[in-house]
Amino acid sequence: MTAVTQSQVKTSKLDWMVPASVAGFIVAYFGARILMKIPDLPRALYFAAALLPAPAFLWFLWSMARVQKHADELQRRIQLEALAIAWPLSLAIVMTVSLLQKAGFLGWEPMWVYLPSTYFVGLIWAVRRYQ
Amino acid sequence: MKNRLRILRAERNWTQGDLAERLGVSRQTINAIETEKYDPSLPLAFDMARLFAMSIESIFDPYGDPNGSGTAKEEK
Repeated sequence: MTAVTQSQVKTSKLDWMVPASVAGFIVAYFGARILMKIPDLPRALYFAAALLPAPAFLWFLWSMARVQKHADELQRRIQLEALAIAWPLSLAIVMTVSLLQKAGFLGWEPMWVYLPSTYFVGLIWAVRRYQ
Repeated sequence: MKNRLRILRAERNWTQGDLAERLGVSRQTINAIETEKYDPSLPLAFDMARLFAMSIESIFDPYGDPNGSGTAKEEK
């Protein structure tokens, strides 16, 4: 029981890390885009700017892994079902947008922006299923 | 799967949070099991049986007989 309680305490301590790391990634990503719009910088600085969001993303991956490690069986199942929905939905979006781009109906767009939304669609569906 | 978890918990005046803490799971998990939206794993079912000092089949009825699980006897 003590070990379980400690695990739950660890989980609650980790709760803030996922949103914090996502916020860090968003700030770093848009910061990098602003830096890359500055003309005539040394090429090494553009390279550094492109890699600016990477540490925040690694932090996000680490915090998600820690949360999963301390999740209980239903929470893990919810995550699995969310991903099971997100994966084919992401594929459908990428394929459709790609074809629309090829057909000339859409210009170049960073498609990754749409992909996290499919995870949240899956997550909301899975959470509601067990409520 | 039909189960008597809510009754057994109420008999002990435990909240869902109390039971969740004793079993090391989230309150959401207890609620999902009580509302029969989620069937627990075998290890969790064993933990529940141990906690209530009952057999697993006294708590869970896989055949969904609404009266079937009402005959449970506590193990001495």
